[in-house]
Amino acid sequence: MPECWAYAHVDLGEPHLPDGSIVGRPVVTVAPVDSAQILLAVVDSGSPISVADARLFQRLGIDTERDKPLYDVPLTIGGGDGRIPVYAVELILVPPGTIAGSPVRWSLHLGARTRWHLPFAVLFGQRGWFDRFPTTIDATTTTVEL
Amino acid sequence: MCAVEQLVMERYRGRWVGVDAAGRVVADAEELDELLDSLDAAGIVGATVQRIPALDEPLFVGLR
Repeated sequence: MPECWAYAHVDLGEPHLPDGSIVGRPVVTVAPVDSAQILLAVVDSGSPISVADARLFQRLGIDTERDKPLYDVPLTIGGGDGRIPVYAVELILVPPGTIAGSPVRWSLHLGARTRWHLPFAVLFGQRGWFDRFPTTIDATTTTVEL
Repeated sequence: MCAVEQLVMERYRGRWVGVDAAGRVVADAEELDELLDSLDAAGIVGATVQRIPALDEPLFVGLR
């Protein structure tokens, strides 16, 4: 039976819904290779690709001004249409704090989105996440099969 | 990872923060790369990084 890591949904400080309920996001924790810090990443099965704040990419060994992307994809950005570059990168999946597991390193295609104003650094979609980690999301927990 | 306390969160809305295992904000910055540089320069290890949204920011429901 494969090992699974369960991440509790996280309140990222977003305004509560009109009925007073909190917004709990399906979050996993990741890190750039050789980084001392941990990033929050939201898992979104409705997103066809994975994207991140363009300001993260230098930490991933990518110069978005000079390095040629693998390809680019159209994405609505800040109300206007634009294309974002997608690069091959490596990340490390960090186990939830309740589990003493070994971090898992994997390669993925990640889009670099400028003008990032989301409360998390990375958004994982079908490509880059679900094609690597079978994942189950319910109302309170994200369970990741390694 | 430890959640940031609500009262603390209010002080940092619109900014990236690094949070330690006890839920304390140990660094903050306008941009993600600035925060990561600041955490590394301070020798802080294992901070959890997130951005605290401003109260008037729309709720994210997916990229288009």
